[in-house]
Amino acid sequence: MNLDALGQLAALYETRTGPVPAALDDRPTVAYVGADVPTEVLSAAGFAPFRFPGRSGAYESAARYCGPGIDGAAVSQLARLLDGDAAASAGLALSADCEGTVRLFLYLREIQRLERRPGIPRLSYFDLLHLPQRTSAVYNRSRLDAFIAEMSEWAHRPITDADLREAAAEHDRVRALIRAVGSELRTAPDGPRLTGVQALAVIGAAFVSSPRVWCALAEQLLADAGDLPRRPGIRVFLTGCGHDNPSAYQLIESLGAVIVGEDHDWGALAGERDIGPSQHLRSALVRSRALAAPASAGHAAALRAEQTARMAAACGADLVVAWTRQYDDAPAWDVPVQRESLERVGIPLVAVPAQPYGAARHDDAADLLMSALHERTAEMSR
Amino acid sequence: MSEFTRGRRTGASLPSAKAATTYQRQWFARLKERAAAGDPVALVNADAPQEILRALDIPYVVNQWWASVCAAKQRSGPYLRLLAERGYPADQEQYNSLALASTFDDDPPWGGLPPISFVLAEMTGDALRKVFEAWQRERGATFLGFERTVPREVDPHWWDRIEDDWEALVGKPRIDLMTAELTGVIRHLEVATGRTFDEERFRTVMELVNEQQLYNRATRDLIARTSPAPITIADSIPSVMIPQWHRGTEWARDAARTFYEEVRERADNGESPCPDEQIRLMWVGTGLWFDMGFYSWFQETYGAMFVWSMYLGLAADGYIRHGEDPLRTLAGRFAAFPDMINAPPWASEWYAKEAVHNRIDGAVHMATTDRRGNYFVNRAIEAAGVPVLQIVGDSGDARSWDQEAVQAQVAEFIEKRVAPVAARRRAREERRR
Repeated sequence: MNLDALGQLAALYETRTGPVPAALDDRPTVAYVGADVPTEVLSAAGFAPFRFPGRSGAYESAARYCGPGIDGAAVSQLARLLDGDAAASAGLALSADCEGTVRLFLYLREIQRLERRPGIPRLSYFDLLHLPQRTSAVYNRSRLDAFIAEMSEWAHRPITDADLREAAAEHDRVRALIRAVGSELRTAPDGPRLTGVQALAVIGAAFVSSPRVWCALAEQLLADAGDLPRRPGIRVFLTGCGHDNPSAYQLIESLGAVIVGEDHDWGALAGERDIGPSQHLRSALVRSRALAAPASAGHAAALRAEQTARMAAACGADLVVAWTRQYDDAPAWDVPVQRESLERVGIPLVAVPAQPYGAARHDDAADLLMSALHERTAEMSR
Repeated sequence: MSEFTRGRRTGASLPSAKAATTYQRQWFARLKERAAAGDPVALVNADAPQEILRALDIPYVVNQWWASVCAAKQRSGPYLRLLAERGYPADQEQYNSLALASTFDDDPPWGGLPPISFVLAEMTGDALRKVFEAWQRERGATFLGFERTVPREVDPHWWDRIEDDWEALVGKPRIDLMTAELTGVIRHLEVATGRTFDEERFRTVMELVNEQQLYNRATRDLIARTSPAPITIADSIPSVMIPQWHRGTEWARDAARTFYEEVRERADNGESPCPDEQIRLMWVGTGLWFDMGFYSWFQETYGAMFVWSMYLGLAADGYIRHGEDPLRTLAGRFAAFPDMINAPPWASEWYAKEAVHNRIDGAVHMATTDRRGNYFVNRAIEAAGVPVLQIVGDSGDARSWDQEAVQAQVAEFIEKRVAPVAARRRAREERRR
């Protein structure tokens, strides 16, 4: 029974790289790029949010528009969009969560101005900023109001605060279950019962299915957790860039480790942005995206490092792997600060050289990781 | 911007260029004296609103100017290694991180930067904020950041409206945000330094900036319509940019006027570094600080002059603002500044407009990364009838620069693609005369 839930979640996860369906659970889909897009607003408008990732190998259509220096994930997303992978959706919402997404928006906007492509859905852009000052919060509120107004136009219906509150509660339920998957199936004292690859799929399925469907499957998975085997191996916490595919997880776990947690928004970080029962819902929506659970881009290295150390310690991690991606510039700047923070909680960090997005092999990373894992195993056995 | 780099003269010949370079050395010595006497010094990024520091009389060093000094002294490679030794990336934001790296050097150029108390920067891209936070961590400087904002829709032809209609063009929310940020930064600096922001002085600073850039506009227009061009970018870059880093002072305004007058005199007398000008080229990208002599070889070989760089073009079009409220007007200058040179359609359409205005026959576009939206820039310039060659290079990183290979690449471009365009332009202009 539990395997059925796990299998269904894994199958849902795989749909992320196919064409965006026109509807989920009888709701028209809106594709989105960027973890800062307030999916609660899309749900409140009656849409089904569908997170749109890159796909390894899908670059050709975007190659002429993107020179070197653009994150391969964004290049791949642009290629998929140009190929019509989001054509069936009711629209595409992007945010300012990192330079890759900003570039993707700028290029899409310009392509549509110069040589309109019918397969690209209408665009919206949520310019959420991240400095922890009131000035940015005021701007963010004005942008959220504009985003809500635009989604209301797309939906041909008003979006009330009651709609938003109901959607926030629904998405908070998803986030609570993501946290439960972490605490019960990845970091429980008797050992992890999901591999990192499996956990990534379980969490990632939440971004491409309706909350109703995903919550039912996640609850089923948790209820039957005892039937899942324990996963041996050195416990690794993964920091650095985001992972919209499992290739880094597969490599690390092929070396005998098990990934028990991560601080990127395709993984456990997605469970850390609760809206909660706020009286000022729109401010809470902004705050949850702008300040809670910082990703690397847009946030201070010190804040990021404190979070990495806290989450890694809570996972009981034996080793932290900092995995960075070429042209995703922010995470590499965090590493010296993360290393210091982790030293204070007694967890070593190994930093992998920046890897190309979607590569079939990561040989330099594999050599480094194998050596680090052997060293850590020897240390722990002493 | 040193006079000699890699044994090749830069070709700078204008008295104003030499005077600016001399002034900069004297200014830097005075700045270090002030720092030694206890004055706080700021480091600012090129597109940060330096005018508030001018009004507060807080001395500042421009990050990119200092990077150009380090690069011209052939320090970029060693400095990037110093960054790597401390665990920082050495393969991204090289131009913006050289100044930080220079503080790790025991023997930096010009005796090195003074202690930095404040860092002011806008945060385009993912790494810039981290670079300037590192200043805080490594050197104890307070980082005062300005958000980078992105509008939903834009009018591509910004240069037609931005002087007076900046509020509508940039958008009220973006202007509101930057005005609020400026207010907060000014208050912080007042409290931290014990100085008072002088509103009247600030108004004067804003007026001086407009006056300075009007001279730059006149110079740009003069070069645009004059053949043979009275100067090349080897002259215009130091003559524009050193005063640009001092904008809001009488010296900078007067330096811009002197620069204009020198160019005017040359134009009136028909003087040119290349009297037999055949081809007019534009350089898209930041200056080639570690090889400023690169440009002159083409005028000697082909009569091909690099007559345009973004430095004079942007001074002419990008800074002038009119408005009742000077702080809001300053926000109108900088809230969308990155869009002008780095984001389509503002950047791409402006480069194309400048190519036409300056009667350009070919564009050489130096870029290591795609931050500028290279495809769209190249497409717009080509659509204006001007061929483009994109080359790989980074102003802050000489490690990968292959001078001979790039020279050969540009030479082939001139021979095969630019020369026919230039011939047609000259014939067209001849018919009109």
